[in-house]
Amino acid sequence: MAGKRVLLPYGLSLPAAAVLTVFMTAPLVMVLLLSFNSFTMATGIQPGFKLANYIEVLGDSYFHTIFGRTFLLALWVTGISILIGAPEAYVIHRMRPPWRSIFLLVILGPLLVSVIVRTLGWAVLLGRGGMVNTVLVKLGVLERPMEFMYSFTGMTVALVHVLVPFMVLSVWTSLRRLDPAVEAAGLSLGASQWTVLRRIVLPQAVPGILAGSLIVFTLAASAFATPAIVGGRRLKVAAMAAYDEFLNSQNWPLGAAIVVVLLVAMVAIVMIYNRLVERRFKQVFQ
Amino acid sequence: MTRTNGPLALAFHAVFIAFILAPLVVVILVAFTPESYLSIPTTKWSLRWFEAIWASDFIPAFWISVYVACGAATIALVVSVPAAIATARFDFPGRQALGAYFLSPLMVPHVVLGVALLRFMAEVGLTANMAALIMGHVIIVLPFTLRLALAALTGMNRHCEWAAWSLGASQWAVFRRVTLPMIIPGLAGGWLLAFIQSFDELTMTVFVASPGTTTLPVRMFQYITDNIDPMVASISTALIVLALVLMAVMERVYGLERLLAGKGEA
Amino acid sequence: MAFLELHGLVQRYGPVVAVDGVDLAVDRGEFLSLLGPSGCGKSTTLMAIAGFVEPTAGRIVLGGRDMAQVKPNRRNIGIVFQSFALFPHMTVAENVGFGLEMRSIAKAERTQRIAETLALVRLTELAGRYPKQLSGGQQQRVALARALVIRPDLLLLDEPMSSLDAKLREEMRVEIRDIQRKVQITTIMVTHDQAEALLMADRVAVMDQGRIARIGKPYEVYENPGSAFVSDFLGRTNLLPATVVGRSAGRLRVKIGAVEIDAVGEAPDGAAMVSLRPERLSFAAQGLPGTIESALFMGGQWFYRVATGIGQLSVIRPNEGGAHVAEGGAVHVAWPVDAARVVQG
Repeated sequence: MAGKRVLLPYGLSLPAAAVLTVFMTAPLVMVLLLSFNSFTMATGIQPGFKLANYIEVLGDSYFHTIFGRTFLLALWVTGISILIGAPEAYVIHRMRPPWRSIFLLVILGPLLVSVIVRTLGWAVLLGRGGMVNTVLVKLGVLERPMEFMYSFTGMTVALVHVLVPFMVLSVWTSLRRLDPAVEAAGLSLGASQWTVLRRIVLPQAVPGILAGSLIVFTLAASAFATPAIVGGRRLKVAAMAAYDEFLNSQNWPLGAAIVVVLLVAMVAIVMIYNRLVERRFKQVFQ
Repeated sequence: MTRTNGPLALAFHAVFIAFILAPLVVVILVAFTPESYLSIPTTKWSLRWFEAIWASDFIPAFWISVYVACGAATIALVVSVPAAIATARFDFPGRQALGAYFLSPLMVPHVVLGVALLRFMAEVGLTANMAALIMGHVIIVLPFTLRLALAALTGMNRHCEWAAWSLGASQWAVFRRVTLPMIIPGLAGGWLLAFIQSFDELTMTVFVASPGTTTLPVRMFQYITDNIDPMVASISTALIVLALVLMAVMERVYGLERLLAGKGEA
Repeated sequence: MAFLELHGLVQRYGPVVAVDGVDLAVDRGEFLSLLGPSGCGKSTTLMAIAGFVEPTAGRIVLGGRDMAQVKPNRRNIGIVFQSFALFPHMTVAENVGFGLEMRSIAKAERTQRIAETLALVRLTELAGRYPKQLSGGQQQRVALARALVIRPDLLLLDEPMSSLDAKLREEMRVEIRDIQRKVQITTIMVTHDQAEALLMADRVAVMDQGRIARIGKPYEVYENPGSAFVSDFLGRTNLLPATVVGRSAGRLRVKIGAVEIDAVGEAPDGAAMVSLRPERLSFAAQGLPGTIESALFMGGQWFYRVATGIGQLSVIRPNEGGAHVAEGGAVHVAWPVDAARVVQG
């Protein structure tokens, strides 16, 4: 059991580690290096080590708007996902067996459908002649059709639709650990339905809400397809901005700086969030 | 027992489900329109937009997607299995760090991976290279194949391996005759999930797609940014049907909520 | 030289000492049971013998051969696991034939030996079934057949009965015992069930905290447990703190509370424990006076708790159909002198 078996696990891990290193880590380092290069239309990419791109990304109001919009979008999407996803998870949790799995399938199934398809549906629904407008006008909420496409609202709604299944799944998973007998015990001890919800169910759901929020926030902050289709050119988000620098303006170093800033910001947010959550809710997670 | 939902809860639930299904249902309805613009058919239904798919360039894009997804899922699975064995069956210095490294692609947004892959392909002279695109997809699906392989390995009865070993099997024979057959269902689930992930991937691929490597989602994205017509709706409908079939298979064999935890792109 | 010998076996996992110096000698054809509470190191000892864990120190010698460099697949040891660990993707016959296949035994002989072994465990008709189509008892017999068919030098049974229900367990005890006798294979069984160990094994080794506390024939170990731990673990007993105050003609004079009694065993003067087995106590005209605190009916016997001058005593009397002593009744508890045994605390 000694000797060459000591090396065996490293040998077994080698192919996967090599693939990751060559096709992820090395390219990421290349992007980092690229972000310090400079670019002009005339000369193309010039090697070098300058902070000019970062100064532009962090100092220019054009990029402030884009990053601010991205952050705001992610916050809204996360907030709405909590507001509608957590109650829905609780409703699912209280369903009887056949219905519970049927509706879980209905909610999770769309994750198997390309995000393009799901966003396309919103493009159809939100258009000037789309169903949302028709219904709102008929109900008298709107006097005349409104343009939801290429609007922040439309982007938020479509992204919530794409990402809310993660919130439902996350909250439902943590509610599943809740023993139904505990709820019954609370009620039998004279607590009202509302008190049980607040004192017993909600604390149990909190870890799920926190974990779900992190997933939804990070995916929303780096979303590309949905904002690109529903938001369009006018309402650029960070991922869109990088796409434009790379594939339209050809200013790769600037695009690289954008994604490095995005990545660093996200990693920082995730780490700070985890730190705060761990300190605050240590007992809940045990 | 008060485990039933009240009328208010059920009303909320109905609205939520309508919200989830509305865009998909609308896409399916529009796909059957006989008109040449986006509209929901009321009196007349037509399959003309489904017929139109065959002559379009969505078909080659579909096959490229299938090819890339098969390749990425298979390669990811092949490198995941030994890595999963190492982390599940051995205790060695650096095991935790390696495990975290294997799952690290989950932490990196697809847009960043796309930029990285684009830069990598340009730097090593592989622009528009199909193999490089497949390897990029391998990075994205690797955490999923690895996680399912790990779950299968830790979920199986380890004493079966010990029993085979003491019955005279070499370590390789134990793996081939006992471990592998016992984890095959889990591996198949991982492959399927990886296939879907790769097949649907847009954000990374859009950065590196060239005429020879335009996958279906990328082609659809390009098409939609130009104009939205009933043809993309009919293709989307076909994809929804495909997803329904896969969903039925996966639900039957594994339970969907177990598979989907943490998958994502927006 | 014994067939299997363990010399100073030690097994550590980081700071945890699972096995702390076990010496053991098992003769050819013998059925030894390693008995003890969970965490006492009995399973780890078994896994070290099989070769799945590498001992921190000590030697394992099987048939005169040191096992240190021998991998599990070269030890020729048959094992039955608690979970049975049947290969779910193979039929009963394929499960049983696996070890033969690994030994490259020709098809014809393989088929014959599979058939013989399946007949031995009475499973001939189920050869084509898959494990999940079998009951718990049938699965266990497959596991036993799979271990026996390779004609191992040593058979290891790891809690073989604990995943069966009570009734089946009793049947399988006898069946496994009979099969072991029939094929005369050296066997080590790990169990936490003392009844199982006493009933099946030729010798019992009681383990505690990584060491063997007592080893011997079941009857001897039961009657002369040597330590308070063993006497308490094997069957029920009344353990009473005592002081050895004198000795005469092979007997000890001990003082329990204010009462002095005679006892057997060996101990220096001073503090000790006295073990009184409840089934050896009886009610008589003379003896230690006491009051019945509770009388519990257990079918075949009555279980009494009696308050006496030396503390509360458990007394078990066979149910002879007549009247029992009622709660609150005054009795005298008596026992033969050799029932009071001095053990080490």
